[in-house]
Amino acid sequence: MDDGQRARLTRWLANATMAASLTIGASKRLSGGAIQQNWALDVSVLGGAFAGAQHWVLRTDNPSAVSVSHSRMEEFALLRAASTAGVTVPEALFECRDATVIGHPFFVMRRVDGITQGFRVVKSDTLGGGREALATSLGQELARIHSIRPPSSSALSFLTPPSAAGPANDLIAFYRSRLDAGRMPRPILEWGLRWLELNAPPTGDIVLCHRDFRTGNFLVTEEKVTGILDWEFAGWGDPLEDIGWFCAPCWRFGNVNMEAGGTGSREAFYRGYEAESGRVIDRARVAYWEVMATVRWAIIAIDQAERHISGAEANLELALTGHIVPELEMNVLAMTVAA
Amino acid sequence: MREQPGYAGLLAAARNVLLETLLPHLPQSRRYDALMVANAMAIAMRDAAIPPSDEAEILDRLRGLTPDRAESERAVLAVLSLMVRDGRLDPGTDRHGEAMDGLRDLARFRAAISNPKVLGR
Repeated sequence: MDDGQRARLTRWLANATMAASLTIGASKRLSGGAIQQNWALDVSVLGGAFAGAQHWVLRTDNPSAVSVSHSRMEEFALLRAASTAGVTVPEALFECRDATVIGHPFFVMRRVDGITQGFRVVKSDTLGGGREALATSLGQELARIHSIRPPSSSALSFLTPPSAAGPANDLIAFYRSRLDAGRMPRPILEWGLRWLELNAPPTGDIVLCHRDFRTGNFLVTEEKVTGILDWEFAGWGDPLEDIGWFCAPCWRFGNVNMEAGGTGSREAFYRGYEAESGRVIDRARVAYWEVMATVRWAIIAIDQAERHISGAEANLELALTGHIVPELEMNVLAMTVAA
Repeated sequence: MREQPGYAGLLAAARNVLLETLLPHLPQSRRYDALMVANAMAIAMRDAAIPPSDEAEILDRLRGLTPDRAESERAVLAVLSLMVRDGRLDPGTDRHGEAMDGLRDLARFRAAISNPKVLGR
């Protein structure tokens, strides 16, 4: 953050908190996603409802933000809606639509303890109260997210409802358009999508899907889950889409035997979900959505590598992300072709 | 005509220096970058080591699935993709099994370069 940004942000925050004065002490760029920037702010507030030492996170856009994700304002609304539904999320405090303060719209949320790194989470036997307890809590959190149904408050009116074709077919059509826009034809992923089309389930419940509910996107301490993060892809869809994404083999960070996102058992995750939601998960149908998850991740990986290949963002990590795709293709074939 | 060691040999030697000589001296915060570089070099080495005949053989199998034996690699993959999408190689069609075998070979070929660990599973 440059001096100008810091000064303008200080004034803006002082206004937002109705403080007599406000000082930004430390500000640190947090390692974030490819799409957003997160800044940890330690702030001293004099007067007003937020008087005292505050520990916040400011979330804004990277210059190369991808259009498919929600704006910060939309993410703010999603955090608020999630909180109302009882989901454990960092408290969303202030939103700023004015791009002149720091260069992009942003919002501020309370900073929450915990770690997110996938490889660390899946290695631990104790985080979140232990593997089974963690898997169960994550099931509960997802069930609370899925309790948000359309039509919802006008705050979420920016979310596109599924078409008459249903959520599975909408996703298939969208992923086909992504393949069409790619630089290389992809017959194996085409097969995955054709299989998904041939086996598409009838439209069931429509709920708020997080669309990136996975290990790596929640904060956890030794005691518990402290925040579900990264709401920029959320939208209306089939609840099994989220369950498939969370349990898909590609999201276990190498801990392949722990089917609940590399943390604990699938059954513990399902138990938490079913107890909280009062509904039973159609276990046979989850397999369909794990194929969907694998195809989707492959398409995201292709897009990420393309950012490097096209020259938009020279970055070795993006380049290497493309090389995840062959493994995902093998998973797709294993899941869809009789041996 | 080219001087030796060439592409593969140089990459292997350079990667060894990275892992054995440099990595132990890097701060913790730079380890991930170094491991990514080593991974990139390993992929490049495997890419360089693939016999062209292996690739040509798989491509020819896939070519055989296309109605007019499409010529270029790009054309083969594009026609195959379209056929799959249109349902012409669906389960129950004559050539479904052959197509799945071809796709499996293609997947294994690609994985052998990008991440051969998955071939063992």
